[in-house]
Amino acid sequence: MRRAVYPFAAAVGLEKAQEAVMIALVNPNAGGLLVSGEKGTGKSTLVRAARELIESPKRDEGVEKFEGAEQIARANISDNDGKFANGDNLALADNGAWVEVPISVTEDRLFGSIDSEAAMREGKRKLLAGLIDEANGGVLYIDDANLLREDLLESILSIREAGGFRLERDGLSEWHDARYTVLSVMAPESGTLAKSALDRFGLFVSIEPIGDENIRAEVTRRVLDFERDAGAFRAKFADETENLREKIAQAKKILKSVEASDAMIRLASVYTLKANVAGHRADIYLIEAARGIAALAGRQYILPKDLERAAEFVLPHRMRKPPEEKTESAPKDAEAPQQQSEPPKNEPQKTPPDELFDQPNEQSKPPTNDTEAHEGNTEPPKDEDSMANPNTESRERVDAADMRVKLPPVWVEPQGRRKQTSGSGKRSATKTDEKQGRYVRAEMPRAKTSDIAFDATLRAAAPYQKVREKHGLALAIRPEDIRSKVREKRTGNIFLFVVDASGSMGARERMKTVKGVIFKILLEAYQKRDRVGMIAFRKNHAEVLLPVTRSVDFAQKKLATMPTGGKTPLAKGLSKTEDVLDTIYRQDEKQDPVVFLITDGHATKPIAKGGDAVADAMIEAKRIGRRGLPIAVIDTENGFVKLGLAKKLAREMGASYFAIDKLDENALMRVFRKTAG
Amino acid sequence: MKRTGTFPFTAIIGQETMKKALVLNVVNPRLGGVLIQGEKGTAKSTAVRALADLLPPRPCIVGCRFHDDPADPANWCDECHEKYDADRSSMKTELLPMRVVELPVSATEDRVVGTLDIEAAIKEGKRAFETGILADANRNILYVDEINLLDDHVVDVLLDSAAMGINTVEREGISYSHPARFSLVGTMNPEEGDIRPQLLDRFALSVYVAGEKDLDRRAEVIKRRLEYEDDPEAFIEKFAEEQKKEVTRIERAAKLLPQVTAAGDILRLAAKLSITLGVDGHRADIVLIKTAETIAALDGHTEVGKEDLREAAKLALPHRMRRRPFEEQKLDWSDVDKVIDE
Repeated sequence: MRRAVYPFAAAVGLEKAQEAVMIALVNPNAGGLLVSGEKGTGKSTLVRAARELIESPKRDEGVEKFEGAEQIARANISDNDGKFANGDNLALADNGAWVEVPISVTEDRLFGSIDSEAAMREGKRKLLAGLIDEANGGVLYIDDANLLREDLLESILSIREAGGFRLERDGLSEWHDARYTVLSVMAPESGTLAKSALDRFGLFVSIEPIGDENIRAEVTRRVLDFERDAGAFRAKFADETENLREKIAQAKKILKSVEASDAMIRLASVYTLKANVAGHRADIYLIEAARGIAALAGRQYILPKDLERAAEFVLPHRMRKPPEEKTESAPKDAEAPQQQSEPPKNEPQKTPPDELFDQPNEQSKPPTNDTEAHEGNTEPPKDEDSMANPNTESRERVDAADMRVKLPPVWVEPQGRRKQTSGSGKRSATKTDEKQGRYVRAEMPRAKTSDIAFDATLRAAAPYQKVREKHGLALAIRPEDIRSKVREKRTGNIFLFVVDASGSMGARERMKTVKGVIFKILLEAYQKRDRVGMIAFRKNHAEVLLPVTRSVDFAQKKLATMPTGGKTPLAKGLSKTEDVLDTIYRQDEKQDPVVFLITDGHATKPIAKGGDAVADAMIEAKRIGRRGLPIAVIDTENGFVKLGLAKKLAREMGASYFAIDKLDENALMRVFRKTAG
Repeated sequence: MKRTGTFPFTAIIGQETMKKALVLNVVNPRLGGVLIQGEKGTAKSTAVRALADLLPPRPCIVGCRFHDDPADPANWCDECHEKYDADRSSMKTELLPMRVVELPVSATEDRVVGTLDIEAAIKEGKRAFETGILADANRNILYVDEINLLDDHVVDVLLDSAAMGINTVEREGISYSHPARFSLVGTMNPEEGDIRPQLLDRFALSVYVAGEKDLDRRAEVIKRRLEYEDDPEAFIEKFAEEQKKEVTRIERAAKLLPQVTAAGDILRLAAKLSITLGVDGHRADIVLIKTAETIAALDGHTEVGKEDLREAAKLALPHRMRRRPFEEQKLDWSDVDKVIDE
């Protein structure tokens, strides 16, 4: 089903994203495009609108009739029985296919599977083309790339790079050519994209919010007009759409003859070296993107400015800071969210729309400057000399000065999501045995199953229907055909903070810090489904201040008051922790809670009167240690004489140990990220 | 089991903002839904379910699984296009009331988006699509109680169709897409966990309800409830007149709505509001205007005024504010007033 799309040309204030889409469409070798932006910035609307630009021109009156590209692609495949001879793909290279991959896609639909209907009728294994086949020669669009199952996204991206894949499913085994351009959007606030996936997108654009009320009012006006009467609105932009379509078609035609001179290839390398990117992908994408830009400009050669423009799309998401600066950036990032909301306020009216995109936001500025300064020092002057030769020969003049390239600002992934990418894989999805969670794939059941994957069972049984006795039904299923569903469920972590609230120095401050960190985690927890709890011990007992929760509101209420003072019943604090862990396990034994113990280790209150407070604590610590959980002991001991009790405690528990003189939110957040993975 | 009838919408005491937000969504089905937050037992679910009685009938194509609108071919399903594009003479229409379709929290993904029709597969060896809740929800109200407890992957598919108005199914050997435009209505108790910001943003409006504090009115709430439980039919009968009035009001507003317009300075004012309050994206601006238009229609005038916008802001903005630790998620109304009155 298809509906009239919002015209590509009617987008307001999204010039940079529009340009990137055009480049990606003109030159598939530029590696596709990822558009990142906050919710409601119009990124999906814009990219989906690109569909019109690659389809064969067909005038419409608001509603289109589509015996569209999908069917053409499908027909292509069934004609060939799903097999492409290796030279065939040229003919298919540009068929205007547009395929959308929904998040709920299952593997059989993505890669293709046996056609169960045909199998039943003819008893033959025939391919039912998957989305990747359908996208061949066109565009594969993914909405919310970061919500798609990671392995599927990786497959889609690497198949594109490889130009095809070998299908091994349901008794089918065949090579499929697959050439397509991946266009995708993501909202960074809803989850991360693995670095490896990010790197595979050639082009990248980050959409920044528009701070000009007149532009915004125009956006609203157009969207409302479109919703009111899509046909009339589209008619208004029909000419522009046609022009863009023509422009892209023309550019595609000359693309083949756009040359990349040696000088330009060298210049591209200068960019990538300075940007400190990993691997050689970036060089190639830079050149290809620049070729696309040149082709769009109607030129058959690349100019340095094309490369500079290309760098804006190719480099931001893969640029890395020089290694020594990396560690420094951590605390900076932690404060980012506060800054983030400021910029629109500071300079609302003056900024022309175009500049909004070129302007890095506050936190991305410093690293750029650093990089540039860094380059200035290390760049060997010799380099420029050696460039002189090819320059003179090349068609366009590149003088030495031009070799000093200007890098675009680094795209800084919004705070707090980076750790996911480093991937201990802990928070990624876990397989579940219950009938809950997303149906991922089918498998031969290992035991008796009630969670039957009927589609897979059907495919397994289909080829034999011709020969089986069916007792009047259309289908005979034997036990060996049965397949069960493999399901995946995303579960968040549980973080338990156990805090010393006794009278020792700075207890109040410490509690406030923990509270702050708990809120930070909870605010992030939207996407990760993490839950947080807090136990405090002081005076005679330990108390669950915050039962394990996911709710910010609830935490706000529970942690409104946090009494401190009194002796240090460390052992009781630890045994309370035991209790809470027990409850957690009783709810779900697959949980793997992470415990943060914040104390100086100076236990002063034993469990029973007359006991040894420190010895009691050590016994309890050992008990917790047996669970083999990830635990972090944060030692707040200060003063000249250090007893090192917390360290000993950590050893008993098999915990990682952090000594922090002055505990603040950033320090605790760092420990949190390190331990939580 | 057939329910004997629901508690009448007009018999709900207080909770004016919530009722208004719901009614606005009935008047303008394209508004984009409402999220109702509040403690347990504050008539959230009662109000949503009671809404069913106020829903106006609208023309639907007979035999269409998605009850397509005969007058809106742009949003027809493929089957209707196939059948009626060339020749509309065979098309029959019927008047069906809009419905409240419930999506239970425990719903699985395949039930939500639809799945392989097992019966057709076994009996006829055919690969057919069995529709899910999203198909039922087309042109209706989709209601999710405790929406904050919904499984993540169900939220994902919900987001997708809420954004596009199309449900695309590529699973279990099925490749199918159909219209799924619905008003999303969710209720939740924020103490039981938060809702993903992306999903939050999909709701056009949000209201926060609290229990009635006034003693007399509180007693009246209980009295009515007891009276209803004692004899539902008599109770419903008692409010029949008022229900009818409300239906008429809604119908009149819906008829007026297409004529309502918002001038350029109102659009700019909406943008300014969003900028001043630091709200993400354009959805806020758009929803502000749509809500103000609907409020105007309900009030019986065709030009959106500042007061309409002010009221719209109170419904459309609270849940779009950025949240920060240590701060209650509250709007500073003086900011809103300042922008509007400037």
